[in-house]
Amino acid sequence: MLVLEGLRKSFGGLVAVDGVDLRVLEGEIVGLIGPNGAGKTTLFNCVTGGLRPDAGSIRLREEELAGLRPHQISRRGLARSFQIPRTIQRMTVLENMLLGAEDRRDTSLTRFLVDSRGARRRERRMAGEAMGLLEEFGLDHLAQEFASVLSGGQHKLLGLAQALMMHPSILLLDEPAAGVNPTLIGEIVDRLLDMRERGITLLIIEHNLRFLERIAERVMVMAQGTILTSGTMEEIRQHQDVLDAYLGHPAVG
Amino acid sequence: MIDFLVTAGILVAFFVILASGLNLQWGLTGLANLGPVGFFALGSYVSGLVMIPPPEVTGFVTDTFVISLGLPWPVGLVAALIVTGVVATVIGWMLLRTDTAPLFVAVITLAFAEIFFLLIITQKWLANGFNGIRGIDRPLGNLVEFGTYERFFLVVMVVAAALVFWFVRHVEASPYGRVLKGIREDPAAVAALGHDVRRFRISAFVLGCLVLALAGALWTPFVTVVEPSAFGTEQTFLVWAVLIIGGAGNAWGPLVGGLVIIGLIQQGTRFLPATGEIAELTVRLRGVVIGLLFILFLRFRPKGLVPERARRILPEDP
Repeated sequence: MLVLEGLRKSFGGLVAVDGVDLRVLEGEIVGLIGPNGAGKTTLFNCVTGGLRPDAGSIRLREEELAGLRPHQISRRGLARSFQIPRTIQRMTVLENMLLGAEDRRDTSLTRFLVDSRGARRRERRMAGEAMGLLEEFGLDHLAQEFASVLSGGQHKLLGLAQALMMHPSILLLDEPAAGVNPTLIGEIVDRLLDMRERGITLLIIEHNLRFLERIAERVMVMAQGTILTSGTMEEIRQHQDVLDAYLGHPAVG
Repeated sequence: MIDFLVTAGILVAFFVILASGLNLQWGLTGLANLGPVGFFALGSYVSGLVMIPPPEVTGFVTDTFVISLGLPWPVGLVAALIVTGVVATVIGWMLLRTDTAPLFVAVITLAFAEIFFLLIITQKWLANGFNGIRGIDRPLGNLVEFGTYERFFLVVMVVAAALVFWFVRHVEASPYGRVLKGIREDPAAVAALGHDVRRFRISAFVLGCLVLALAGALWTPFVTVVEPSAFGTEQTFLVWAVLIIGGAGNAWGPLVGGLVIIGLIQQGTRFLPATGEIAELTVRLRGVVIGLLFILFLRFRPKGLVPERARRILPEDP
């Protein structure tokens, strides 16, 4: 599904991502762990187009993504969530959802001026779909509120729901469980498992190993810009390099 | 008294248009255009040059213009919009990348206005330097009686302002406007949601500049003179004050701001008892009062008199 080969990115003298090879299969839930500064978020930013990789290739179903701009990449079915939720505060929750659903045709101003009634109809139809998703995520009662009233965890949920509005085939999540209370973590786990049921492939950066244990089929360990190893959570725990690089001691997690 | 109200009304409509143009850029998209007066002047000059007959016809034989076509006002208006559209597209294309810092937009647009101003006053061959373009005919001037021309022009301005208001209302309430508001708050997030931030920013910038140029092209035939002194930096400040005090990010803001700042404070103070020292004082204090209000609003009510409201969409049952 998603194949990275020899991906490199450096900032001046600092090599943040140093020749990463990585393969995510269709329908998989893959975790990406590693200490702070390992290059995980840089890797994400390269894949989603925010940063231009220095070398290497990124292919989504055989299509090269390296060099494309972020909106082109997300239109090809690769969506992302941000470490710190990036919902638009001065906009209602429902409008935030629509922002994820509308394509170039929907957002054309000329089209709107010529046929505003048709545009409104499409908007209401998408809003209907959005309400369905918001209900699943337990946010429907907040649909018409400014997003600024949401709690941190609700922002995370909205970020996930918003990504679903794009109908992605693969979703890259940057620390979906960070700063979220334990009850909500359960909620997020359920939603992510639902996503897999819908056929969405997931690649997840996460420090919370207990969280990953519950959903990830495979975990890759990144340190100093390279992938150290990959395997199931159990296998990873046995791995000496990982223990040295990240876990510190076996009791963690 | 009536004539006074007519003049005030014209100025209000005029500033409503200018602030609406800036509203598309700053209010909706977060592009801090610090040179609105430059685009206003550009529209004014282009329409003036298209409308002015050659110097041997006007009688001002020492005047020099790069072009002087003597064409009717609608042609001048269209020419003003086309030229401004091209200039704004070039500036926007060079300036507005996804990660452009707001500060650069401010600096470059300010520089544009200053450069334009310098070009006009130093290059006399362009548009007659300091003396400007004189002797433009008022459109329909032979049909409308001279004494009532201002009233006629008030109607024109109010219709133009209403059209601009209608346009901004539509932009604001459209999916297009939603993307603009998203870009204003977080361009990278909007790009991640599949929208071409650069394209939206450039188009919003160009649309705003076109509205500013429209105001310029309306101004030219009314005053019949286009001269550099009319396009000082204080005009930029006034447009910003109208937008911020009225309320940015919604179409009503510029309307209310225009009525309050231009109608009530700038023009309304002319009705105060004007004798001796007081008369002089009100003139001097006018700008100070607007400046103070501007600062107070920025500090205590940055949302303005009419804050931006949430847009409610009635979802269809799935």
